[in-house]
Amino acid sequence: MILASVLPHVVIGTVVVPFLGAGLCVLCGRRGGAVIGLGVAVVLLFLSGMVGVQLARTGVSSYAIGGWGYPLGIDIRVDGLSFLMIMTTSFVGTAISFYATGYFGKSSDGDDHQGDGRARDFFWSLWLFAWGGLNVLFVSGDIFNLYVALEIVSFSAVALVALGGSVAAAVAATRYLFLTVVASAVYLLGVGLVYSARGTLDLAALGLVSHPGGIFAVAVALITVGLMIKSALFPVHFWLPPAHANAPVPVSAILSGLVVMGAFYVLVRLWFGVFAVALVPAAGHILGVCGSVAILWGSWQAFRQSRLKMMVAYSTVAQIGYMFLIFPLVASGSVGGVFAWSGALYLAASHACAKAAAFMVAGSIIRVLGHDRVDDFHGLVARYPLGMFTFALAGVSLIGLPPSGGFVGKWLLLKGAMLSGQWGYALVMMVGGLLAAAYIFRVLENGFHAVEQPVKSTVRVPWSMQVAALILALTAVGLGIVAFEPLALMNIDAPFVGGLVEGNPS
Amino acid sequence: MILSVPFLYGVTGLMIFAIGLHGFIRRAHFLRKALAFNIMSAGSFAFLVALANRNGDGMPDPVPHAMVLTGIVVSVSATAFALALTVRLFQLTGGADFESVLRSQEGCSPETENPEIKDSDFASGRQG
Repeated sequence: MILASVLPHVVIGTVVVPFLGAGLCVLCGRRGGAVIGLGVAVVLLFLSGMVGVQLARTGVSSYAIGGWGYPLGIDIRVDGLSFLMIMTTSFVGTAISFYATGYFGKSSDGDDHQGDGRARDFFWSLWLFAWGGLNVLFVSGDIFNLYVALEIVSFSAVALVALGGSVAAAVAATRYLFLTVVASAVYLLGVGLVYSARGTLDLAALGLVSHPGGIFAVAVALITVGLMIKSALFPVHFWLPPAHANAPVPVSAILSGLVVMGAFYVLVRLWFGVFAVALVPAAGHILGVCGSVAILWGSWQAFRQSRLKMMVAYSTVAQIGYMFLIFPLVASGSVGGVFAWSGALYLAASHACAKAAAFMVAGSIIRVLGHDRVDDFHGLVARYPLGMFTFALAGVSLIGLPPSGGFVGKWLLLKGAMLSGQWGYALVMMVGGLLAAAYIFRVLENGFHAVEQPVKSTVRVPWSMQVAALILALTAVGLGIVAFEPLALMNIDAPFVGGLVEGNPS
Repeated sequence: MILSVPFLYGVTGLMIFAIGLHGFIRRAHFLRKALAFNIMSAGSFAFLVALANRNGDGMPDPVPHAMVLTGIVVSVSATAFALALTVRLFQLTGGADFESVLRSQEGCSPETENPEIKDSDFASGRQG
């Protein structure tokens, strides 16, 4: 009884709690930041679970803030896709928060690894602002609210990148800032065009459009370009690798795992919710070609990198390409689109876990060895075996080997490509898998390389860092083992009903 | 579309947007990029205000006005952020565009996080 009355309001908690926490972090300074951050993370994890319970009980829910619903107010809407994103963000975010307590704190040998401590001072408030912005993004039912949320997330992410402190970090942050504000301006113009065509900003009302007209096509183009920049799709991905090279490791995990997924989510929501009537298959193919080149180019660049962090950064570029294949496969209108929809979104969720785990391991390796040059990893398995194990698990998901979440996602995408007859994309995905295997195995091969005199590591990696990475890597693999329930939950109120609603990936 | 004042206003806004975008891409100096971004935003705001016209002389539509106000806040914050980063980079390197900052990167303050970063890594990241 109490549950039934409280559950509908839980969604607001996911939005309000991180912002309150961010404010408290600003007030409480250095020591309080980690405590508040961890507390907020745990609370958000619980609240996200409650959102899932609510979704399973009553289906799609709409929350009117202040009692004002459409058309006067802005609606909050939770469906399967929103829940998948919220849950992924909460889970990965909690793990990142645990990792960050170890990363920014003093390690067991009493050495304070973070230079002047300024990164630690501001990390927690900025991270909670970004998290709150992401949650607003996932539950917004209004196209302009999506713009505001994108701005919150982008500015927090730019500030997080600049926390690196070095000249290179500031340059990377400046580049990211300029690109993201231009992307937002383009997105805003697209929103203006949508409003001029329809006279409403509500996503559900916009989805009822029957005569799209030419303005919608221009709006689709503008919004798509803006969101391409924000999600680092080839050819506008070039802000991502420098940002990763110079940001603190938790920030890399946030950026690669969550922020780019947020921009991708907005594009999916708008394409298949609002712009569905204006889509022609050719539009999907433009994004598909960009995604295919991203897969091949990103994987090839990852293989060529000498540093592990850069390698994982380029791997993100490639995995984003996989996710963007949802557009040509679903826009083709064939039955394969149902599988592609589930596959790309499941891939996004498992990529968040695996990529964050990979970055965390890279950070731990830097702590152990003092560098992250892959060719000098010889003997690493003796000095830091848990790290190699975690990286191997994350790599399993990134390559798409069964059983892992990455495998389920790529399998569904491949199935969608073959069912819709788009063999080119299927071929690209398979080649991309081979290239991913190449760079993952390169790291493992160097790590397992025997050395004459194995050196026992004297630097202890904090247990919070190791455990957080391990849990995320295990989740990335586990998502492939328990795929039925998440897929079913995720497909609640998906644009495609029937066939795959039960979540059967076979 | 009838050739009316609101229509001209909106088209002018779009042209200002295009001018701003061109300036952003072509100008290298950070301050010029920030100015160009502001011009872009001004163009999109003009377009949105033109949308607010309904019924000719009747009450204007407040929703685009609200969008413009939000957009102004966002662009002011973005400009402040860009200026802060520009000042910081100028203090660190004496340069105020990507070329000169990257050229003078080698003789600068020590990196706290990644001691292995070289210019070549950055260059490959830039073109990659």
